[in-house]
Amino acid sequence: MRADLLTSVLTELNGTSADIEASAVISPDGLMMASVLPVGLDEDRVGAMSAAMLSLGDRIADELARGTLEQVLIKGDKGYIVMTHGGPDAVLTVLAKPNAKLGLIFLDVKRAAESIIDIV
Amino acid sequence: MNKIYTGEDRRGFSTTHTNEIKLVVVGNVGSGKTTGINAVSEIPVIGTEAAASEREALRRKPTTTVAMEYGLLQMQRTKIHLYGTPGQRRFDFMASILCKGAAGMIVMIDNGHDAPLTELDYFLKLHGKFLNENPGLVAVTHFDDTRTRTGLLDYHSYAIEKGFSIPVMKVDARVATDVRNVLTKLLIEIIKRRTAPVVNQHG
Repeated sequence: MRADLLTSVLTELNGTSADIEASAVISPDGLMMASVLPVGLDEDRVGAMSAAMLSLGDRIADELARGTLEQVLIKGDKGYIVMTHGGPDAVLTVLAKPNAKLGLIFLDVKRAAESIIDIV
Repeated sequence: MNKIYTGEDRRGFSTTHTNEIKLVVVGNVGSGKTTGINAVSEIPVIGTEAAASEREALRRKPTTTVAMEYGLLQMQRTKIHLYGTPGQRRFDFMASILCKGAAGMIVMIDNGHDAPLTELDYFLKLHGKFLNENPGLVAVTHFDDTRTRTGLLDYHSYAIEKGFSIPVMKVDARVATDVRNVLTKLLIEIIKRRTAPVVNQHG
């Protein structure tokens, strides 16, 4: 039930922009709660890596006095990875194309994160 | 005598100057990696704990490490940077990242596990390359667990059977002196390896 709701949020998120290629909701300890991923991406790896990265981001933001973490952004030559908290009990990870309009992506991701907070 | 060991050579080990060294702690879920680092670190440990949602992890504790831990301490004129890894298998990629540049490894095994030797085997295989090139040590925890039947000798002969000549020690991860003993033993292994005369292969 909850997984279905989360999947519908992700499907909607992926539909808002052609630049968003994949998205997933993960528990803070790295277990997949819902995902809309292309074939070939290993759910478990995406989950574990997202949880590790976001928890490191949390600590770094705190240690270096940047306040509460809002998002982690990774840029590679083949695209972006955006990670953000969906409340204290969920992590939202989004994969986007290299030419994506980041401002729009951030906005869509923020909206989706708010919906996830309501569900989780 | 000391002269052999002193000097600026980074590969050597100085007995008069402060050395710096990176050590990494690996091991199965709930074996006490986080507890051990917290017991000996002289700085507040930088950690990444998340609420554990799996039963295997919940058996012993409410939270689990998801990325890494970092602690720092000084002993034997050596500054030890201590890195802890997550115990759950899906985070194994973090362990290989954290092993970069490390001088030694502590493999912590929970003796109360249903099959502790299988766990030891997993980590010996996963870090086999590292352990072949660098000194390591097996630290067995949870010896007060009443269900325990595996003894230190079992671990030792198992490791030898798998081709690893590696010291095995019993440790209570909650006790700082216990963990410091393990670190001292590993330091000795590292110093031995670094100051050993180069053997002429044709000799």
